[in-house]
Amino acid sequence: MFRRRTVLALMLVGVVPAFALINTLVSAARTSRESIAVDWARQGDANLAAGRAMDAADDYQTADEYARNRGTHRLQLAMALVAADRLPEAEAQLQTLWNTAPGDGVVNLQLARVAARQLRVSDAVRYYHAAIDGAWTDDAVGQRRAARLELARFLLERGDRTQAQVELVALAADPPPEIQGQIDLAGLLVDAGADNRALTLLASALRADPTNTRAAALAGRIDARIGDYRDARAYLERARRSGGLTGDDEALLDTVTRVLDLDPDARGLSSRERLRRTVRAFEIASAAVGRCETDALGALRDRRDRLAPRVTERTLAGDPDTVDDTLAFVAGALDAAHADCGAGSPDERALQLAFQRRPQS
Amino acid sequence: MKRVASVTQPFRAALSEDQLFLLVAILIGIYSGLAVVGFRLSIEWIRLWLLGSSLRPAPLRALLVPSLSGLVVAALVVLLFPAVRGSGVNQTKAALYIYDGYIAFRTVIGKFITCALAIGSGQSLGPEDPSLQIGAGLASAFGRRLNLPPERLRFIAPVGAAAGIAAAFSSPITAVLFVIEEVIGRWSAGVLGAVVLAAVSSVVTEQWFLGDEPLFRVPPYHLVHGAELIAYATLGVIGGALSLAFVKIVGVLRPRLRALPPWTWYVQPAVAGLLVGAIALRYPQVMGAGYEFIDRAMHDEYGWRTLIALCLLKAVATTASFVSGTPGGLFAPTLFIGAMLGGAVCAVERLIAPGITGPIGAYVLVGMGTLFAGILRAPMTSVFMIVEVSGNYSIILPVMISNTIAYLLSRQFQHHSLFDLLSRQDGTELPSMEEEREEQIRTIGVRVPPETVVKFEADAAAPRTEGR
Repeated sequence: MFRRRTVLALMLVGVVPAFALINTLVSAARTSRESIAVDWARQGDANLAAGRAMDAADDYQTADEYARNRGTHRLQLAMALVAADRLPEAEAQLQTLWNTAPGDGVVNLQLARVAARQLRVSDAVRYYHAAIDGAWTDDAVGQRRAARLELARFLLERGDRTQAQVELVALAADPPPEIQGQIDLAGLLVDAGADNRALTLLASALRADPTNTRAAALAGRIDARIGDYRDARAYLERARRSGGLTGDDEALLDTVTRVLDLDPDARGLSSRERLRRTVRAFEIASAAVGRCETDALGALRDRRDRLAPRVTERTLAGDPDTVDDTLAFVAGALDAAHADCGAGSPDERALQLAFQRRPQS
Repeated sequence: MKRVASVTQPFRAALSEDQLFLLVAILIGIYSGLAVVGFRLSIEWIRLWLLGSSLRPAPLRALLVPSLSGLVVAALVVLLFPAVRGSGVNQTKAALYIYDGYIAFRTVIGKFITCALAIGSGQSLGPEDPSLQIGAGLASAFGRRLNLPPERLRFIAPVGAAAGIAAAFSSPITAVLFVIEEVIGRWSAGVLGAVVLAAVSSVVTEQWFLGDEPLFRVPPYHLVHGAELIAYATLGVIGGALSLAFVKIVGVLRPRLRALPPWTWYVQPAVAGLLVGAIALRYPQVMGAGYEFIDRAMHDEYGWRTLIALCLLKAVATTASFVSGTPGGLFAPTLFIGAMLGGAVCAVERLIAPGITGPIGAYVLVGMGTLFAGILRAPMTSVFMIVEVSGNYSIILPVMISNTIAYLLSRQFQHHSLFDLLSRQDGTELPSMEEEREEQIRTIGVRVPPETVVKFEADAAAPRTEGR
């Protein structure tokens, strides 16, 4: 009995040094494993940077093996697998990570990218939203914004402008602090058909940086497209003053200037100027039906010939009906000439743009 | 002093034989857990030292290390530790049924050293069955030191075995079930408590040091379509056939190699190591236990050709390592072979019916259970092991279907389970747990005729017999 108690006591007491011994060994092993894992991860980083994604995946796999309780290497592995286009494997790795941390922003974003590349739209949108709402370790606001921006781009690529607009409008409510980010966002808003939101954002960007050529040029393009030629010219001229325009933007500015100079319906014109522009519009339209000698335009040519004697500033000043007839002829002639014989002179094109804004009679 | 004695007196009186046994079981669990942690660290260090940290060892190392260390292992086994050959399960059963719970402490040391060297150097064997024997050996040593009565001493080895295997798998339920199903063979209230306590304390100890992360990180599982169960049934059929082939080949080769002149015993593990190394030149995954590669298969990293190749080559490598007399376990290789088979079935199914194929991780898990049921013939353990290891109860349906088919197929064409076969080859007449279970069912059938049911009623003093 005495011996049994002694042995039992020794067994109980012996637990302490045995624990201490194993603890020392485990600590040493853990340190060694960590060091090996770091080495392999570094090699993986180097391989990934050099574009050897397959090798990088192997390296991260090994790193993960030596640091099993850390998800970092597994995430790196998944990203390397994505880079190597081994998407099912990447997804399986990410799903495992997701299993343990379903609210992790990074994991959800990577899963969204995999789903997006596999064109699984609903899965991609679900994971993007989980990433936007998920937890991020640093710069959560910026990461969420970037994820939403990526989602919007994905939706635009898929042609879903409505859903993309929803995401972009949400972004516009809390835009990126840097000007370039705001301009990019405005560009996406334009692509999604939210021109006015884009203009508001660009106006804000230009208030913060009045000499930003990109913002001014983009705003000018948007205004030109929606028919606000006065603002378009202002923005484009501002862009030219700030740093110059591209060839396309110069052409656009020229067109916009012509529109503003030719439009007989422009606001704030004097009666005399309005009549002068009407006569000028008639001349341009007459030239248009003249250059396009198709039979379809025969009626328009006849109408031109009938109107021609009456279309002078003096005659028109006392005959508002002829003014209306003349402008109706101009609209019809420009459209018909354009449809049958293609684009004409710059003035013809500018006048056609100006007439597109007129209410249909 | 008098006061202290008066305080401890009731405690001493209260510590009955039963309670002492339970306390010893907890201590056995703790020490076994510590031993298994040390064992795993030894395997890892030997592997790092001999094969390097890469999962794909350099070709020269892959060829030389298993064969040269095979020579060392063989010398140790033949000259110093002859009792450490094999997996360790039968030795534990022998301790229970033949040697009154006796396992020499020398065997524990020998098992630890030789298995760590063999597995660490890349022989295609696993650490679980050796852990079981290490636990059993430690328990036996403690029991003898404590002068436990013979009826207790007999059962101390299974208690240690449960602790050893629980720590190795980090799964107490699997350990308890395996020991009950394969070692003890019956649910005995007297020993069940001790087995459970030992398993739990051992897992707690192991997790204290190595963390509670599961053995495998299993991707989420869901049954995509009811028809998927047909694929799982197919997996059961193929798994059963493969298990059968594996057991038959081991059963044929092992006695033949043992019958060769004794000097060949020194070189057989080296030759097996050379074969494993040669396979590893192309498929390094076959070396060692291979859990990290099961994890890879679970994450869809291999195509169906690779999965089939790994399944067959691992079976070849394990057969070579095991029949050569290299000490080491069969649990891990069995799980590896099953995992690759499951993955292959999934990959092929994806080619045929991509719309109804679930995630590969589920097939890998089910495959593991299938081969476990087919080769080791412990059906309950095979089911609960997968559930416990995956931490996912919803997988139980495919596991049960596939395991049952594999188990029944294996039984139909191979009368004895692998462990029974090995014990018969060794000339040790150990009771077959399968036969014992069937005997129990037959006995129950005789004792309780189906025509009558004995019903105990709370308000009646005597039982009442009812006709059916």
